[in-house]
Amino acid sequence: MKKIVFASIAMLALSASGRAQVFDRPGIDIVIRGEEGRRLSVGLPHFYSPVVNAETKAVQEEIYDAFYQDLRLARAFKLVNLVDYSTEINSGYQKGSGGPNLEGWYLAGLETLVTGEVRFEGREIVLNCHLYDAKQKTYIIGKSYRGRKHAIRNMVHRFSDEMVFRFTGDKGIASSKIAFVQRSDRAKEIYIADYDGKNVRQLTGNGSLNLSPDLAPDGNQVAYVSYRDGRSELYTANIAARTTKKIGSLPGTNAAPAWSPDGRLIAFANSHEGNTDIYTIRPDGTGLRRLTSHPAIDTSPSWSPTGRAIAFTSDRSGGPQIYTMNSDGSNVRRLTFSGKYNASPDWAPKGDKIAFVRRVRGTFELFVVSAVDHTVVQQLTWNQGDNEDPSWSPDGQYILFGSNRFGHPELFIISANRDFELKLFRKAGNYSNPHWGS
Amino acid sequence: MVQVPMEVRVLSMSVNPKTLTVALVCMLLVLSSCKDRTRQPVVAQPAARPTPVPAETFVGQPEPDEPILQETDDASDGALLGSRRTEMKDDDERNPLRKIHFEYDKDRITDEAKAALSANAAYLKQNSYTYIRIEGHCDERGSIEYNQALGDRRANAAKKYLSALGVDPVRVDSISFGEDRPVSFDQNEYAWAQNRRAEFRILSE
Repeated sequence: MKKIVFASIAMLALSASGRAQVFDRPGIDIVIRGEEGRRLSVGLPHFYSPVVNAETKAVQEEIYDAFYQDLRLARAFKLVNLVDYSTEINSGYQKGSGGPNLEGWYLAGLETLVTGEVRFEGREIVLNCHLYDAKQKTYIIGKSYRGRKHAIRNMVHRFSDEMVFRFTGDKGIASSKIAFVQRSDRAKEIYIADYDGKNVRQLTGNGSLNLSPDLAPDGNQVAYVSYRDGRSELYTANIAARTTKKIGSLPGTNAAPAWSPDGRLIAFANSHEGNTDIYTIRPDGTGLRRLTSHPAIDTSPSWSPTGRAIAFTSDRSGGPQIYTMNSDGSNVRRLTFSGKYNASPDWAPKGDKIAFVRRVRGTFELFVVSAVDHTVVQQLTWNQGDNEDPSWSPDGQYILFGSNRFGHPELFIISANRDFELKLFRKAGNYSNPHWGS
Repeated sequence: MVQVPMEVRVLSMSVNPKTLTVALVCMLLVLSSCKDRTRQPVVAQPAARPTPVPAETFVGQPEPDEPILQETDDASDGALLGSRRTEMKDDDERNPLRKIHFEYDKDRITDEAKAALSANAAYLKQNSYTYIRIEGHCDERGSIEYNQALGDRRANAAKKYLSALGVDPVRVDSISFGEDRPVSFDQNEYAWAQNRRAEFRILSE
């Protein structure tokens, strides 16, 4: 009888899921607008743990939450909450007789099922993830991960990316990192975090102004600007080695660093020749090269994904506008013509679009312009405070940005097709200047 | 683009409501035929549980409660501005040099600013060993990076004007704080107008 009840409930829920996400957990700051595309249903119970105590329960919750966030943002999947059926699904692990019984779930309309085992080995956690095809009753992929307890979400992110790659052929974003600035009192420090806003770690701690973080393509370095020695200078930090290094040290204001896609150059803005122009330099501080030589302000360089072009902000036409140039400084072209204030370009990872900020009747809104046809412009935000510093996700599906729509500066993620928005941190704070790394 | 495997295409077929209804009926039939308390699964063969591939190991990370970078305050020594320990207090009342204000997104020296700069130039001529630093500031609206450049330009515009009044530019350093050192954190026209400014700090006399 119990089985009939659970199967019926699951079935009713699944038949309704074509219209809306019915398995949403309460309290997650996600807004879904409009229709969803076709998504593959993925059943997710709690993972099996041979030991049951408060610690293992917390880890099981963490695993569920990480999968929940990953699969929602992956867009290829529709997560079905099977937490209430965890014991049933994982009974095979308990008895050592094999994986879950898939037939009932297939009949209930489920297409795939993720489950697995988690166990503690000393101070480490071993996580075995299994993905099953409910229709074919087959095992699709499995991975085993081992690491410290705080790395549990990263293990899940890795498996989520495996799933995305398996089903879409694209590289997932679940293992990507972000960098951002948090203000406290008069100091601004740089922080890094997982793409879902978890595992926040403070990078700088010098009590000065630290701005414009830019994660290197290898994910292990951050270029940023710091006033720690009294003026605005460029630095790179090595996250694993916990070291920081001053780059160049040109006089004047140094600002807006951006790694080239191959990691060999950093483009940045400097004012030592009397006004702000764009330069490139090698991460070791050699090979300084000037790209723009214009009496106007040229700043905020953003590389095209091939590294052959750079978008930037310039006020050479009177007010700030978006321009592109070849990465040797030639072939400068204006890309924005409407609006008196267009700034903060960020070139999309597929190369086709550039996100930027436009001032519209006194507020700042996110826009996207085609990199090939400047007449194709899309507005992403409307009348919700000031929206600034767009940064694309590595898969080009989302834009991370700062907004004061709720009264103080916070970070948000919006999908490029506007059907999805998410506030990144629940914890109150003054967050700005985000960058989404690879 | 990687070729999508065959079973994926099968999986991505949508479930239609009719199939679901049929499935529900079938399932009820199957379940009602197993009333024999054996608690057998609906289908006797569970999916195989293969051994996962060898474990990927996650290396440890620093404890989250301390900054990753081991920066000492000594790095800020010699800095007159920008570090917590050495930053000057806002000493408007004792500062003999007057600050000037700017229009939105402009570095133009207004008539009011000209009067202040003339007074500042007169002071600097009387005190010919005084070295100063001009700080350019912006209001919070707009791009942080563009505002850093705009603050730079405002400081330089003030420096150029002082130079035209006969102050040796060697005595004048400049720095931009962009929008990050506001005098007012309020969000209204009055606060923004106060924040769009250049300030004149005496470095040495």
